Amino acid sequence: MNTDVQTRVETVLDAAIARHGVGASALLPILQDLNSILGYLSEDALRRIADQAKVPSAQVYHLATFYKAFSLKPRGRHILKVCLGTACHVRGAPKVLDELGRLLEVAAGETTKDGAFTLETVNCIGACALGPVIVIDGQFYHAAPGSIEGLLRDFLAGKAEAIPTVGGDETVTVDERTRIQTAGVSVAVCGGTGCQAYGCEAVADAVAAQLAGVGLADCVEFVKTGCQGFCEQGPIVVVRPAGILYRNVTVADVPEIVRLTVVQGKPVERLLYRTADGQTITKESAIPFYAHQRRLIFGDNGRISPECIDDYIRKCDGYAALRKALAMAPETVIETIDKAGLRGRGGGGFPTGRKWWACRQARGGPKTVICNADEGDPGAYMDRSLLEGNPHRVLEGMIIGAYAIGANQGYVYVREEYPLAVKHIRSAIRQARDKGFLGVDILGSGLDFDVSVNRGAGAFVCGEETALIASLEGAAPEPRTRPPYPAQSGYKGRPTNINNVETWANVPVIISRGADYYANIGTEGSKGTKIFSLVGKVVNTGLVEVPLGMPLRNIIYDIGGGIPGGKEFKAVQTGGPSGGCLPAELLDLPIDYDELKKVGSMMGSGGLIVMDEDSCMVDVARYFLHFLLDESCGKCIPCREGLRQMCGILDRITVGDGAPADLEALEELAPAIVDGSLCALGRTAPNPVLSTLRYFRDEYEAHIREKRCPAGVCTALIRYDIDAETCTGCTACARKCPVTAIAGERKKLHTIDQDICIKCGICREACRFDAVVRT
Amino acid sequence: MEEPKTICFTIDGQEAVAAPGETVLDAAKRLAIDIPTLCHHPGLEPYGACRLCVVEAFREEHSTIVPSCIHTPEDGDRIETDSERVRRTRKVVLELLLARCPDVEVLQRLGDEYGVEAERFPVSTTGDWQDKCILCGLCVRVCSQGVRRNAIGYAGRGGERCVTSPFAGRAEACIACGACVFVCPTGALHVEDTDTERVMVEIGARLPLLACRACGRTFTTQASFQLMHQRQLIPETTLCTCPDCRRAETRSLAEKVLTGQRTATSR
Repeated sequence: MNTDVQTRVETVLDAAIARHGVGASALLPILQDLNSILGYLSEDALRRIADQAKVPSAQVYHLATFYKAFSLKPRGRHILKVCLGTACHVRGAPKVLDELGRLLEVAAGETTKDGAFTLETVNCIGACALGPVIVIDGQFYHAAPGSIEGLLRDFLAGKAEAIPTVGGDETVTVDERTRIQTAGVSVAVCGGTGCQAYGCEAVADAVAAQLAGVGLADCVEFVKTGCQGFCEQGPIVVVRPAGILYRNVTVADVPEIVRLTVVQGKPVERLLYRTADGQTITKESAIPFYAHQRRLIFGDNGRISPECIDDYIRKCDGYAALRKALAMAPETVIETIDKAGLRGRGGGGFPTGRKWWACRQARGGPKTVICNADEGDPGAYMDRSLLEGNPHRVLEGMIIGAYAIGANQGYVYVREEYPLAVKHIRSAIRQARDKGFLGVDILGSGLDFDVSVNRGAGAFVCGEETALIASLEGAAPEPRTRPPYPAQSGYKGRPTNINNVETWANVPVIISRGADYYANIGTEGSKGTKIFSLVGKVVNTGLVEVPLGMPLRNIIYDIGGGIPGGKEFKAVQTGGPSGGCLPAELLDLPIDYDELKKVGSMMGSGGLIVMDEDSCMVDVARYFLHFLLDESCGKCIPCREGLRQMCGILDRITVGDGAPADLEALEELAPAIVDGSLCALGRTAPNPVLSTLRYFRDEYEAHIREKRCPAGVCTALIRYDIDAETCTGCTACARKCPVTAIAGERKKLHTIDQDICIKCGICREACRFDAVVRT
Repeated sequence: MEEPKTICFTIDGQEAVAAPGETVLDAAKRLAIDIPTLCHHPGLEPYGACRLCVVEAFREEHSTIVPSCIHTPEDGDRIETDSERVRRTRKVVLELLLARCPDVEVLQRLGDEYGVEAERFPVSTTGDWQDKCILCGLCVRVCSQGVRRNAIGYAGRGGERCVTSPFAGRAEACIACGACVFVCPTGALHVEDTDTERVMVEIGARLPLLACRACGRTFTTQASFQLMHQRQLIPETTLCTCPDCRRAETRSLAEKVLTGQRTATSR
């Protein structure tokens, strides 16, 4: 082996060990450092890690092959990841992956011959409102099927970022300046991941440059916020105090926004939000997407700079809840949370107060609290947006929890797919330390508490609390049987309390406003508000926060604006991969923990993936089961082997090889997997199959008996033909066909060669005369 | 000191007791109630992976399916080891295992017992030794917890998970002690001796054998000897002696002692 390479591995490894130490709990961070700096983990590197970090090589090898983030082969100069999350799936991600594979002539996991690209897949990148999404070298791109070739060409050709243009001779009068100062004008540019994919960085730079250019930098507050939730319409710019919201803003729009809105207080008509019937809406609060929400937890995201603790303290009364809690007895803090009726927002819905009690009362120590930010549910990204947009609220919740429980050490375990969230929570921790909210004797209360950040490495199962603890300890992230619960014996055998991001973010609100205020929101058994990620086939995709108990219909139609393109609603999938698909008959269901369970689904972390008539429910069930088999740790037999068989059956059905006995087999496998599996991943894994069988059995029957896919999704069961009557011979389809399956002369009937056709449907979209027919 | 409290519950209607921390499986064994297991070994920490030992635990009206190898009962619990739900779960587990490992005898026998009929699921075999491996993890655990070598482990996850030596190559930390072969419930792992070497067939390790200091026959690997020696569990001379010679020497020692006693008595 090349000695240069060896030396480089040595250098990087030495630095990683200096940073993270040795032993099992340092193993994952060390692997992450080497993987990201060296691009992959060679056998030589892994052997050296085992040797120098003093961990058995069997364990190193298991972890390196377990986590999806690690590559054991050298990768290309550019890493191209296709998101296979649910929202991307229903909007055509499989076609995007196919198209990329064809263009680059590689399969997922492979590198092109010239070493330019490595094609990878990721099980949800958390940019669900923009789906389908691809990520090239960490940058997000919206990737509509059929547009990929152009996107790749642009990427390889330019990569030049748009340079902010500053209007030259703007002048601001003294009167205008006084008005601006008196009103306290601010411009907030959303810097969430969704808006970043639409180019908000350049817009934000342009706003800052423009404000400076006209001499207003000192009197107009410029805030680059975290995600504001209205991702579909990004980049979003809000000018306050007027509360004027602009959407789809480009760099070219910025001078006008500054001149008209900031300086003169007038709206720029063409950038305003428009309703379906063409009406413009000026104020953010009047836009239906926002008007029907109750943004108790999420609202501050649009007002503060997430990297500025003073913003949080000043605008959100930040850390006042901590002061209030520290003046209370720890038991009273827990009673308050209990009385408020807060339930875990990560999926289980377990009462948070009771969880805290169990840990407080547990013997042994030092106690640990963990923030579970391993938001793995494909199609859900509220935790990402909270950590990115308001990390101090999460941190404040954790400190209050640590005080109530009596914990001294905290961990935030974040998905590695969320780099911005990692950056913001890290800076929040540093700032909180500087202000004395973390560290020794916090605010003179006698509480010693500090927090560190650990990153996941691409494993959905780490969202399960015992697997997360195992991952933190450096073991393979396999769930353990409970009891003992983490409250009794968790991280390194210590009493440990784990809550997810949104749960922690609720804590300061409850302490500040009181249990009664909070308990008045929501339903009998589900209190407070919940953030949902409303994605898929819906007009306004994004994050919405509503009181629990709001009917699904209001969320999808009033806030979401219904189904785009005049299509018909078919189903809404709730609860992540282990949730269920609910049909139109259940649209009036009030959404809360218990109601969802009754109809065979669950809350999960709050993904709401809307599907229309073009979604095949058998394909959706198959998608989730493959996701779960891929993400299963593989330890227990019902989950590993049971899901394998279920996937096999669903594969057969979707290619037309299904038999009536297959449905019986699915129905017999399901209860055994539910009863027999070790952890919640397996115990809920059959839900997508059971709920689609319950509400959409006719679609299964059509696939099995008639060999027909009613939604036209399952490629083995459909074909495309060109209608002789309507075809004008315009050649549009033939030019777009990626596999040249269409033949025909100009102004003459075109035909599709069925042997070559890959049924991607691009021709059907390309035809302006509806001459391409799918049957 | 306070007496540790005994937990009283029932298994299949029989009165059962367990010390705190004892599992349902422990208590059932004492009552000679048969619960099938595949991934359990009394000398190793419970793992709860095969799910064959599941039982139905009733607490008041509510019942759950739990693995008896891990589940610790509470006072008043009612455990059923042969309920319909238990049999159904075990049957499906066995069906799934037989689809993976159709030629494993212990699975065939248990399958018959639980009424697994014609194969309902397509058999998916790989053509190598993994066709006999049910991933119970006994070999991995005995190597880490018992022998403390961590010579083998797992790779991958989900449907791709398998038992392997690190980097799928030769298991460098293996001392060819054979413990993994001994605990394997399905006969997936094998050990073979040549004149000079012990070969761990599936794990890919070949280690020189050690000859008995008394009879000269090879009986263990030099690496196993060195490990035992390092850990000072047994005197060196005993370690270098094969089991047959050890028995013979003990026998002759015992005879000498007894003869000596007799001589002393007759004096």
